[in-house]
Amino acid sequence: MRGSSKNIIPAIHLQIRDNVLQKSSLSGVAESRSSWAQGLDLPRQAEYVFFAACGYQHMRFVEGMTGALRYAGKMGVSLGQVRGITKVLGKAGADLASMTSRMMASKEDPYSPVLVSCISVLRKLGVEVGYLQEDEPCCGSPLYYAGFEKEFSELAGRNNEIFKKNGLKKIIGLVPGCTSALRNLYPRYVRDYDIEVEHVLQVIDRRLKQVGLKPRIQEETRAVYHDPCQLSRHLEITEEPRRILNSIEGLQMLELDPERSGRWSTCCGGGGLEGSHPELAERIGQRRIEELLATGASVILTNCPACQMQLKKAARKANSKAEVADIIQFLDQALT
Amino acid sequence: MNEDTKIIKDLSSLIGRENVSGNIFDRISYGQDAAQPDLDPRMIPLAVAKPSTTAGVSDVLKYANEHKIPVYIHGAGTAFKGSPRPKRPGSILLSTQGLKSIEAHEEDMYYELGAGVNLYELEKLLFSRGYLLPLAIGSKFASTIGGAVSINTIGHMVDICVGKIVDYVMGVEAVLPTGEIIETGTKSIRRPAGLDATKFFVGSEGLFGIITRIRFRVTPDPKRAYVVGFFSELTDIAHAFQRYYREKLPPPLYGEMIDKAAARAPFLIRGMGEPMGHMALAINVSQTQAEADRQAEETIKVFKSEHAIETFIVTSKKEQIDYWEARDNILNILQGSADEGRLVMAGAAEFAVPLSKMDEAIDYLQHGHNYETLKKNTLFIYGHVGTCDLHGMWVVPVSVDPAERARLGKEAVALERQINIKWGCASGEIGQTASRVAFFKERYGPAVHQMLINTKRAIDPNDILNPGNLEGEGYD
Amino acid sequence: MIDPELEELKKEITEGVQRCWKCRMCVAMCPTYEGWFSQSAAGRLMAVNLFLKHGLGDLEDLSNLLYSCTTCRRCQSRCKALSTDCSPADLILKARKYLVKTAISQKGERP
Repeated sequence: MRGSSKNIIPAIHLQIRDNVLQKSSLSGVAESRSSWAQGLDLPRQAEYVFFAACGYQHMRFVEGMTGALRYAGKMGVSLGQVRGITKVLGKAGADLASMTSRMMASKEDPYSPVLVSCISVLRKLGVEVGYLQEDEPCCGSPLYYAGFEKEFSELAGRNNEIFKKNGLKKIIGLVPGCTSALRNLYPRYVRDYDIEVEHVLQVIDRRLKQVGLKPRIQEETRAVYHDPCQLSRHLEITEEPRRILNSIEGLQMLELDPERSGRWSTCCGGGGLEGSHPELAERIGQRRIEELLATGASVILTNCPACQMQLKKAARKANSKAEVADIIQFLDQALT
Repeated sequence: MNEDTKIIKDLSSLIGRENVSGNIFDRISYGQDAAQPDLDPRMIPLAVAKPSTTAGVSDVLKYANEHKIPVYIHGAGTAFKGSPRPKRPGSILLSTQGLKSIEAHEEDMYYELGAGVNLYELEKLLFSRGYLLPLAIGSKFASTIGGAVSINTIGHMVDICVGKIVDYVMGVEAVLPTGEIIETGTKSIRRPAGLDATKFFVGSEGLFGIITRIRFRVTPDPKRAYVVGFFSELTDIAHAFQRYYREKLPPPLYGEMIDKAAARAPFLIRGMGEPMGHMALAINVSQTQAEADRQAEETIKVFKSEHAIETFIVTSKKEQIDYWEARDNILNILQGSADEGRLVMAGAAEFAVPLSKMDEAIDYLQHGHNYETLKKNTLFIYGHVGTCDLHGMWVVPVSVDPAERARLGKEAVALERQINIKWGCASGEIGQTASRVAFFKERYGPAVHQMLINTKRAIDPNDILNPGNLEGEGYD
Repeated sequence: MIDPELEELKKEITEGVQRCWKCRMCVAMCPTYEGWFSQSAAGRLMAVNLFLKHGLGDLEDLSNLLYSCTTCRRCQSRCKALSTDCSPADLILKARKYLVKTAISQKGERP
């Protein structure tokens, strides 16, 4: 028996697609994506352009949005029908995304400070970068993963025009998913795509060796590193973060089972699933946090806004005192 | 969402709804196996049952007997010979993956294991306690101890070094086809002489009962020394092991071999350059490192006297892993080729031969036989030469005419049969039912096969467990 | 009405799925695996094959199965390291593409 076509694409993916294509961001929230860069004096054009993406700035809204969808689900409204509600609200002039953003606006933003730390670290290592500010587009990778290949391809083409218009030659990415889209997917879908893409950890790893800086932290800390899927498998970057972390004096890195770290790192359950299958995503997060906590680490380090969100939530649910932190913020503090 | 069928409702009331699935996407996953690239929709099981207790297994079997429903049993269903797949329509697929208990009794030198305990998890656990898991099976990441015990296979390891699984099984808890729960064996490391019903279940491929719990003897993890040797002729490697045993040297834990052509892709993938020749890999073991090293030195002498181009002991952990994986990950051969030229496995043969005939068998595999299609195509030879067990794999580009590919597959099976019969053996790794019944009947004659059929009928009067596997149904 | 793009995609997927030989090495790798084989790369590929090639199974169920994959690619790495390198993660994404195209062509408009 064939199901009705309404229910074959999860509502969250349809919502995100609309957000990306119409509002150029994951959450669709009107808040400026570049306000984190205020006062940082980042030029629009430079040899390296930093791609901040929208993950860090919008993760808290994504949290809110998925929370709202789950709440609707608990009220007996299936995810397939929430899409309908969005339409109805839209007709009444209300916007689900803005509603959730208003709900969340008072909450602290734990994610955007990573972006500021990133610039700070690069500057300490003598690397100046540009930033497209308001012109920076959404990379569109959620579209690709949800199966909207045609829309993704068109968006990538439009984005490349923006890059060309701004004379962009090299990108340093931070969010692993976006960086891997720009590096691995865009060449497949965009003609004459000749932009060099690196991940910031590759740049930092290289510069740390060249500059000879010795990062150190005040208190002896036992930490474990969680490789994000996009970073370890899509970008194949596993050595650089470890080299960086091993160079930090006072930091003792603990080991996971080799079948569960590096290129075999277990997924945290983020990257879209938290919206379409929230209970499953939560269980996956719980399984991963158990593996990480079993090492005895007091700090869990990672480098992805989705992993950060999932692991923080799972650590809270497990009543653990372990802190989940981004490797860049950690390094920034160690480089003072 | 469809309403549950009657069989789902019945099974749910027996073992709990969360342990039963009627969803066709679940059922199909248990209805296909590695022996067939595609599915026969008529044979999709009606239900998948995953009892979490022995009592649950018993209830399901009693139910099946009452309603004359065939039951196919899986550990993880990873067998290559076609045994996991249902041979008759309207079956229940019973998975033992819910039986995962582990009880340590180290003071009596055993562990009691649920049949569904995963082999890799078990290996890690035993290793952490200073013990060796005396089996090395390629599918360990997926397969279960119950499955391994029901086939009595130790995979790569050398039989005369560690023994087969049956030597470690002190007793089992099993459920008879008619539902009775029974216990066999002993709690003493002195196992019963004479009649021991344990032997009805170890190696019986799910025909006489469902093993639910295994009393498994532990054995200390030995010290190891890795020896690698490169040879210009495959038969030199065979001669090396013949000499090794002639000199009464202690059997190694592993005696492996892979031909030069087959080794190229795995070496390349690991950045190990070009293989110098056909590779032999031996792992000598003993209680002390000094003794293991001494044996390794003997192995090197033996390799040298059989014209090894180069042979050495590997001490670096990373290199040990690399050489082992280069031999083990045989499917690397099929990668690195793409599109029209993509290589696929078209035929496979596995056979054990008498020690003195190993060199002859290698020659026969390459040129001695009369199967023309096999001779025309690329053959890779590899295997567990230290335990006299060899593999041949024929590969073709994917663009080859499907009829030719099918013919190749059939010829490989026929050649395997021919070699085993020519030298009075039976293959040593994968079991004897389903696709291997034709061989079994030819090798041992109709009287032996009929004896087993009669035994099966007596123990399983309604022909509930894995029906069709002993008869070779689905294979000509 | 036959959509040639859809048919081509269907062919790509069903041919790709034949390359999986159900060795089940991917099963323990899948973060969504909770005891049933359908919750793995091989399970998802078998489901797609059943639906596309044999016309069995429910489209909504298939969608739920395909969209419950986290796209982490552990299965793909594992298949490449130990088995036939059948690119299971890529095939699952192709299948999602198929679902999107099906949703569009069935409704005749954007869903």
